[in-house]
Amino acid sequence: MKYSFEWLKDFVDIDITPRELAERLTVSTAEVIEIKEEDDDTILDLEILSNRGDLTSHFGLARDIAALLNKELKNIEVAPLKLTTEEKITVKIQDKNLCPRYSAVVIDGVQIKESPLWIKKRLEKIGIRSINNVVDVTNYVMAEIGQPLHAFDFNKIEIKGLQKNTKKPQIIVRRAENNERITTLDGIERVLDEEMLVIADVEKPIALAGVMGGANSEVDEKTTKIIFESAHFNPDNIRKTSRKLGLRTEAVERFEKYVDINLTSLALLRAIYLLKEQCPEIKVGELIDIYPKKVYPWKIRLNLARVKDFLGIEIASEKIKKILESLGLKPFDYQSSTFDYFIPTFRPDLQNEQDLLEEIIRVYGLDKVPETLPETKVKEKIPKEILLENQIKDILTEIGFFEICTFTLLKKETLDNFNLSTIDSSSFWQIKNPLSNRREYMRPSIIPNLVETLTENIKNFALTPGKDKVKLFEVGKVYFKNKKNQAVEKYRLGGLIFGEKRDEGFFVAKGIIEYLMNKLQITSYKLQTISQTSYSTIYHPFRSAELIINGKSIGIFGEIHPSILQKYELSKRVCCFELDLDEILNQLSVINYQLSVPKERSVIYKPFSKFPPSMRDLAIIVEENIDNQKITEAIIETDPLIVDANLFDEYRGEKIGYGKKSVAFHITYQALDRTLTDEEVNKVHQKVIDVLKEKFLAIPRI
Amino acid sequence: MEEQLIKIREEALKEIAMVIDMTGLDSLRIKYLGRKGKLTSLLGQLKNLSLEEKRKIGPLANQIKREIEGKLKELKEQLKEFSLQQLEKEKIDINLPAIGPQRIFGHFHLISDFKRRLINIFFEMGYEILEGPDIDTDYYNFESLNIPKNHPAREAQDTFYFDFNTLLRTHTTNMQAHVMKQKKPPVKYVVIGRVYRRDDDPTHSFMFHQIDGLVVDRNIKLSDLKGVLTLMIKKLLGQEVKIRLRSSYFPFTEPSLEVDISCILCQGKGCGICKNTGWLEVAGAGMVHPQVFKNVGYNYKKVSGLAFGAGIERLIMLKHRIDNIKLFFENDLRFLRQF
Repeated sequence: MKYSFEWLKDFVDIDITPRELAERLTVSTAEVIEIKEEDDDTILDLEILSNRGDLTSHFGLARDIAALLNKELKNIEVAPLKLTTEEKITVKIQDKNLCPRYSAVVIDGVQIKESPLWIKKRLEKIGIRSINNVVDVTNYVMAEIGQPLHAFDFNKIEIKGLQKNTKKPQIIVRRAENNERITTLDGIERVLDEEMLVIADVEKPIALAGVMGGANSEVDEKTTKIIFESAHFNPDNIRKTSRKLGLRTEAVERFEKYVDINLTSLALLRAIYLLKEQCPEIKVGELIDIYPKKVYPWKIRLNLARVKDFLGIEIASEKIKKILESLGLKPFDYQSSTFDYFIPTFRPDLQNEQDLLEEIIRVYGLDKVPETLPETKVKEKIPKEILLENQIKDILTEIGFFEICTFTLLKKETLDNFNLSTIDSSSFWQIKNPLSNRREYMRPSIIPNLVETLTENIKNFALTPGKDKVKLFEVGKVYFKNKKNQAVEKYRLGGLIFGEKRDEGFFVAKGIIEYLMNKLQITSYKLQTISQTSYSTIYHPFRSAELIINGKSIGIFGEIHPSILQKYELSKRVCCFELDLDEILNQLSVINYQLSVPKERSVIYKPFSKFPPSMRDLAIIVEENIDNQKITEAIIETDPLIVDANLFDEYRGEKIGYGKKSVAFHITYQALDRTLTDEEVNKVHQKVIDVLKEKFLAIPRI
Repeated sequence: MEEQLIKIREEALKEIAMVIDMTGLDSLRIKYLGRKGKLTSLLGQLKNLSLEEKRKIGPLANQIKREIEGKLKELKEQLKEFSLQQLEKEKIDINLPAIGPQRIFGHFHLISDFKRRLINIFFEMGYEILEGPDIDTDYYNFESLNIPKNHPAREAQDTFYFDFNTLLRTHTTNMQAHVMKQKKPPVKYVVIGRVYRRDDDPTHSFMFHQIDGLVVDRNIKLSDLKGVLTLMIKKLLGQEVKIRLRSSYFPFTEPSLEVDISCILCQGKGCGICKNTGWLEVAGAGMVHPQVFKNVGYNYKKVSGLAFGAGIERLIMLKHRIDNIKLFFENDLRFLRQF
């Protein structure tokens, strides 16, 4: 929400710069997200917290500033109401929960024109478009004291039946009917439902309560008689309506955070005062105020001893008095050890003593709080499952595994690919409101994540099948429902081995399982053909085995079923294993493992390209004494598209000539944002040749 | 005399065996065979001996002299053959790919690595270490934490639901009521685990990790909270990092605070990453709200508590200057290999 520095100064003497003020506010009141100089003013954009509706106006923010800077808060100027016309309306509130208070006043003899320059400027600086003098006054009062107002054209409101005689239009505050329609001031027709509140005449809705007025009752250049509405609406209902319709307005921003219910009449008086300054001839009607359940200030007691006990800092009681009083709290009893206050109704967020302690410290200064540590002691050990998890991570990373971390939510098609959805999907957890990425099932296995990580790496050219080898693992949870529909979360270790010779993969996996058992000091294990109860659709039926410890099935390892590989277009065999860590824990009597802390590393991440690289080889003849490293560096420095250069051959001999050598490099060309064309690569490659010719007098070999 | 000769011989042969270059060779020659060399001067004393003694020692002395001269000559030939110039002809390029054992060290995932650091920091300070369930109920994730039914965070668009009551936790703060309903104060733990938000755009991941801490006891103070946060952040991101607490609002804490650190990139001078403020938001914190204590059956007049929570990926991204949270879960080998 935007605030003008000069406007704030209407209510408080600010003797610091806007930038200094912004720093104070950010720490104590609300984060200032932008500071903009404009004309001879500075505009501050603040992120108002959702429980601080009292700050959504210049006057409200000025109150907090006065407390922070230890200054006086000035008053808002209004004039006493003098009745000059008999014109009035009747108001009927049908839903008093959604509208606990409705105040309104009729004003006749209005001349619609442009607002005075100073009002237009102030509004425009804080992002509110100037419309005409009446609408601008409603917006001005809202920005100034926080109460959203609305102006209706009196003559556009339907009068029927009995009302015709009295000429008193009736305003009805009611819930909309389902599918009832209203065209709002922005010209868009809105379809309403019965959760939404409207302001209506006897015929039709004339405004979407607390959100936006209706086009049918809009004030225009012909308007002479208006109704000013100043009401209080339920914050949650306003927020919901606004969200459902995708319509956020300045009024919503305030109502959804709670506007002081005792502000409506003051706002009307202020609006009348401002309008009268421009149109002295206006006639003001009786102020209607429907406010059945009055809200009064409430009491909170502050025990002074709590300040030190709870905040950890000593604050003088005079200072405490000063802070709380300047925030608008009304003291009614000051004792030596307790202070009693009435809390003003604009601060519904203050409900208990702890809330007062927060007020004290945020104004006093969070930076003044010292640093201590709690003396609390609880005797705890690192849980076994965390030790086992980390021990396994140590073991596997020491034999070349990459640890991965993947999403625990899977797509339906992934389950289908692994033939998992056909088995027992009723025991899987399915999200009711998935995102458009369609990840909706909590994984029942880590294997799909491993295989998809592999295929993604191939797709993104991080890995070349037939050339590269890789080993991946993840330790994480899998999720099931038990018979009582409760969540069962189990720890698993999943691993993947890729790139081994076709008939060796299984035995590499077997070797890893045995190595792992050995490292965990589990000796009584068996590897056997998979029993009926453990049958898995994931694995190759004749190239997989089951790990048994003391008669308990711990998991399966082996080749992934070829039909799954086909779905992922994997032409090379993949081996996986998945072990139940909860079961392994049950089998371990002790864990001989101490959590080691990783070495401090200050690696700075380097972006990499996911577009296919192009390779070119280059052989050159140079003087024997030229350092190959220097040549490599020169190649890489030639152009940003060169991501790597590797020496792969060096030769000396008679053909080359005495004192010379031939060196050959693999050069990798790749762009961060696109696939390079041959033409592009050739051009840069030629550049490399030219550079080497110049720097090292190199002769390219063909 | 005879003994002296034998001693010099042994000494000389031993030293010759240790010579590796011409300079060493020359200094040895001078030491033994030079004009004032050890052997030369001993031989000079021969003339003072009786004839009989001369006859006896003379041949021995000559034999030793010849032997040492021979060894030195042999050595000189050897040194010529292995001279720097000669060896240079065999120069290899140390940058050619290695042969033999492949690099066997793999890589921890960054999140795992960081989790370990966190566990270590808090275990040392006597905290219980927890993970907690990902699938939880509305009560633990919201209700118990004083998040009213109509609170924006409750709306379905931010939370994944399985049914009206079961959901994926949106924060690791879900463990507060789980733990406090189970045991009496004092409580002192951190939870480290996965959390989920219905949010998937370039800067958000629908799944990420959080750490969440809670200490409840008699007289837990705001200053304790400040102390714990400062210690955690300095241990994770460096002693030079400055901490700033900022007033905020969460339904389950009072006061509520945002925790900022001085920008790691510009040291607080202002840059693009910190949007020229010099500060980066890294955690939320506060003192436990009395309503939360009421909800779990604690006497809020007798105990107080500090609580804090932080996104783990965010901290890692700052530490390693990673610009995209998606990288953590893509598991591209070219990313994993960097750490």
